[in-house]
Amino acid sequence: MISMGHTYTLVMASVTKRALQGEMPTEMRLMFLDHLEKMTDGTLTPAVISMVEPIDDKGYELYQEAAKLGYGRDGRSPNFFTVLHQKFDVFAALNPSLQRAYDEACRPWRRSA
Amino acid sequence: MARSNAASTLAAGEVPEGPAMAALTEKQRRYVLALFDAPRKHGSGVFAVKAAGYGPTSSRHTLSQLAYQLNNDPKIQLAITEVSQNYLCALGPYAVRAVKRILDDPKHREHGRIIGIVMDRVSPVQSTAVVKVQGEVKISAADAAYTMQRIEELCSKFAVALPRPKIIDHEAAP
Repeated sequence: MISMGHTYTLVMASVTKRALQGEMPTEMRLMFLDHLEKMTDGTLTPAVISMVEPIDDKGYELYQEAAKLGYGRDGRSPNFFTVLHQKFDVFAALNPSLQRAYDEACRPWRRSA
Repeated sequence: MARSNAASTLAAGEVPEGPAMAALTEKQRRYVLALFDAPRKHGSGVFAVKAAGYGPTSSRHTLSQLAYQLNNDPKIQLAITEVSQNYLCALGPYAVRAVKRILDDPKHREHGRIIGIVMDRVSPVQSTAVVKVQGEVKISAADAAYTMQRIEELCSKFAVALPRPKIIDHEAAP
């Protein structure tokens, strides 16, 4: 199992890839790709991120609804990131590549366990 | 109509003539200078035309039309601007003398205000302004090539499919 941060980062990566499908200035495209690179670490390797496919319309609608919760840190009510984490299975159902990427990210930890 | 002492004592000869005035005919020069000596705000054109020696037997209506034509002549307009600036410069000493007279008279009702005006110019209040400068940075051809190379590199690294380029007249858009 990977951390909550890694889980919602996978969803963010799929949203970023959706954004990259649209028309935009070259500088902005590079900025989005740089964001993808910043998402990588020892768990979410470039190979894992490359497995993620762009989020579809329904998934994106769900993502936008979650974004309305904001980034509150009071810990009492769920915020944007906790919803992305808690509803990862819903996002994965809409975009199976998320589950495959999740499994790939978990594989090294499973092997060592 | 009453006129200020400074303006009345400043004769046309005291105002140096510049290149714009030199480009005019003698009558036109007299017309421009007469505009500054006109006693009234209204009818100053007719006064100046008469003073310059145009149409001594013409009707007031004709003189008015002539003044209108002269006022719209670019050469005359340039000369009026030039003479106005010269008058302002030449009036400087009169203004300074007037200020000095008020400063010498502590009972003058504007004494305090004039002191303030003079002090503001002698030792002006200093203020600090923060100026925000905004500019536009344009990417050179070398930077653009690097950017495109970096985009291709990151796209292949993260398996990102880019949208197909627009086709304009059967050629790839730049």
